[in-house]
Amino acid sequence: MAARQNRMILDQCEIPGVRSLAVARRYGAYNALAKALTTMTPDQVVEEITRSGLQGRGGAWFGTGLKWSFMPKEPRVESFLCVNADESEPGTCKDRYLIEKNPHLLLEGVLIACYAIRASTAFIYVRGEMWEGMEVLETAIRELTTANLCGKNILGTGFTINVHVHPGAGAYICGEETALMESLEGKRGYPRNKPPFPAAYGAFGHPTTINNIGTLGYVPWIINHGADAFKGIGDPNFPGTLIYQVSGHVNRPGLYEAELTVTLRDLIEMAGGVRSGHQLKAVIPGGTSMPLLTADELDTVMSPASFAPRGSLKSGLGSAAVIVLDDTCDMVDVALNMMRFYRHESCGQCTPCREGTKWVCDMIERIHRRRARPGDLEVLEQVLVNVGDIDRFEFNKTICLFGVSFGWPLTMLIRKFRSEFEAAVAESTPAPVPLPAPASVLPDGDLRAP
Amino acid sequence: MPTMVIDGREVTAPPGANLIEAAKLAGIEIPHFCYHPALKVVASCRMCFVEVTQEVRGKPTTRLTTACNTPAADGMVVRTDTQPVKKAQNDILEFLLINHPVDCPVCDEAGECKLQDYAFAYGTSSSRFAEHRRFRHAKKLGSGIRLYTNRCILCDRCVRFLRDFVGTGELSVTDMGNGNEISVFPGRPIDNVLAGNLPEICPVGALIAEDFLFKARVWNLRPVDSVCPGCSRGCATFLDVKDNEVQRTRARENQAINGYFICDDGRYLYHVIRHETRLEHPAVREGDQLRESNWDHALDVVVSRLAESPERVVILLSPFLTEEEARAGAHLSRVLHGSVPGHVPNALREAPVSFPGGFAIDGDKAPNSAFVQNMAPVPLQDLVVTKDTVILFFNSSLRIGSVSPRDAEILRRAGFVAVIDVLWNDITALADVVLPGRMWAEKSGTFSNSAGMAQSFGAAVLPPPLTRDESDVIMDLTQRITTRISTGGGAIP
Repeated sequence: MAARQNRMILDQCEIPGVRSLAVARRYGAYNALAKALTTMTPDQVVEEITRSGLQGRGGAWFGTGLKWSFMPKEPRVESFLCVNADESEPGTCKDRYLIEKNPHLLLEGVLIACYAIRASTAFIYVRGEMWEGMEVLETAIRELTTANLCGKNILGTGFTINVHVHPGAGAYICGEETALMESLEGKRGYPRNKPPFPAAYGAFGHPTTINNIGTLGYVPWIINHGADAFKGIGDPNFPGTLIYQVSGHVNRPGLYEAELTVTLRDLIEMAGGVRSGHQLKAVIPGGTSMPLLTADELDTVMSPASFAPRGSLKSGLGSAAVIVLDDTCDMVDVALNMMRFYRHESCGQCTPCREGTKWVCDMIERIHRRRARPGDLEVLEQVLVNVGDIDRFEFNKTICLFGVSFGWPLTMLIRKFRSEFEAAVAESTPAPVPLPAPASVLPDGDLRAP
Repeated sequence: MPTMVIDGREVTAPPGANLIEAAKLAGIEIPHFCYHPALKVVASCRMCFVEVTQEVRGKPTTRLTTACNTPAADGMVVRTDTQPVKKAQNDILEFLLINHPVDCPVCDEAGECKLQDYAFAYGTSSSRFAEHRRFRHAKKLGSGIRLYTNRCILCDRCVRFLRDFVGTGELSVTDMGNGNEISVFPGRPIDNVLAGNLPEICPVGALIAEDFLFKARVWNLRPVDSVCPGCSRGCATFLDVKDNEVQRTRARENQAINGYFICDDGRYLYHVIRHETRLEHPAVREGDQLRESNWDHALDVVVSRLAESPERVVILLSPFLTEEEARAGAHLSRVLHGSVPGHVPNALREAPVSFPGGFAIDGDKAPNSAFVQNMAPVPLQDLVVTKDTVILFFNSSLRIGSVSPRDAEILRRAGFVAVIDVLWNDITALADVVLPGRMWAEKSGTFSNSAGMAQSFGAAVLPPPLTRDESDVIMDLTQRITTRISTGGGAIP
């Protein structure tokens, strides 16, 4: 039996005119905020969210309530909430939809989260390309301020929350939470080393909680309906729903919201199946940073439970961006397309990723142009392992997870479709080894003054 | 005090120490590029991997981690020599070398280059990289610093030094990912007095000082422990010597004074040693001209004037003298007339400068003011100088203008002025006898800085042949005068 969607979030986005505060309030928006502010203490909100089992929808599935509980109860300096709307994982498109369709759903979650962690300032870090989303959010915040739902003395409770929308500059790495904070501070988006964790030393050195904007969309529902109701939805270990973004070679690509018991096969079916006349070849389950699954792994339940660390699948749910590839896909093409993205988006802070992205990309480019040399594939696999070893996660070599984000999927891609790569190498005319670059020591006159 | 085991050796590290520092205490070197004890830790080069076994939730867990951002903790078991560590080090070196030009034969850093040393110690001799290498032009960054961009390993040390330690932040990383490059903003070159430290901070040959460019191979240099005479801060330095020439000055670590750095004023001060105005022979005034002379004649002229009426002699000391010389000068004064010498205060004073990282430059541009003022408490302006006064002035100032115009005017009033100096300057111009002394790099001695900290230094280079050590001259004068006085002031044979 085909699984059905549970559209607890998406249905709220499809109410006509729900972008405006008036319409949103008619459908119950900000009732949860009023309830939290007037009848609950911050700790009770944290407790409620903890009990509900809500987990971060950004891909890490960290307990939201647990994360909030790390924040200082009696802060010596102001605490901040950072909302991650820098959605840029290839294939991922849920946050943009939510923001543009129903900003008030998210903003209510933001305000409740601020109350729970005792923060009076929230920064919504929006991906630089999402101009419409930013405008929608800013308009919504203006409406809220006018209606005294945001700003000073909200609803007469004496509580102050200011919400700022901060545009990113279009770098993928700024979706990594510590790079996001660096970028927010006006610095280069370089991920930080952890520890210290953001709850102790976050944005501007203040205690900070970083939540994915999609996660906060569930918060008003939980406050309204109670933790137990939320816990009863779907898998009790991973309660609630998830918006799966199905793209690629399916008949009806789009957003499909379902409980976390849905299988990959169900999702593809919901999306109208693989386009007619073609066979499914592979599926990327959670954005290109997650290793792909093959046609015989379609019965995988699309829940973090199936993708346990060091599990046999060697993949991950990621951001639940399901990219379906049919038999027209050349896997060398796929590898090159992915790798060009990662070469462009590496921040270049730490060595393995900065040097590895270009090296790997150069090699795949050569294989793609059929100019590979014998032995290239082995070197390629070894370099990928040197950046992010899929078999030994505890030996990760980079500061953030960008290294493994291309090391793992490409390693698995080559492992699972090795014959295609071998064929490409076999039909190659080996490229000559390039001459060394000219010496860097130039005569005085040739030095370019700054 | 966390106690742990590093490679089987038990180590007790000071609180807050990281694993690189802790391992150093046990005599174990953990290779690193981006870590510098004076700078913020970024752990970006990923060279300092170690294997750490620690209890996590009651279970011993082993992981590969960077030593620079792992604080030493009680009960840690650290291994720096396991196969995964060696592989990680080898991998990182392979990554760093794929775009490095390996132009060591023409690189000034060769011999003191971390990349070179580590490639030998932890790398392999061949590379699997067979793609086009990244190529970038070299560029001038200002303040005499060049960036050989190809050699850069993007450890970020220079950026952090200028941003966090100096506070000027001229350098930054531009572009992204593999295109990362150290750059200045257009029209905003490096402009600060600590810029000369950049080539020292750079672990490879990317940042090179124009002052040392193509001058010498570092393995031919002989480093001599020295003390900077540039100001009363007294920074510890190395003078690197080859062919009896100082080739460059480097900072010598001294946590009590200068940390790991020195300022550019002190760094490039060594050029004064071979300056064209260097005083290289004695001279005696004949009419209104100073004529080249020899030591015997010049000293005899001085001694005969001193012995004429010892009570009218004024011995003057400058703050450029070492402690030993100041003591000898005071002794000479006692021998002559039983009183203490006077001093000529240094007139070159600037506002003191300090930097966010803690480095400070003293406003008094002479090395030994405090000690000399202690030995010779009376400043020149408080002394009675008439046309009968005979002045013996031990100046040896490395800087023109260290005697104020007012003090020079007082000197001009005296009947006879003999000066020991190292450069032809406004004081030698008014003297009747000029005796060539030696600079700090040519003698050993001790300077006491403004905080009263005494540091001794050794001779680095041989002096010009006709110069004499100031202590030696004072000794000689003392001896000649005692002889003269005890023999009843007879004529010079």
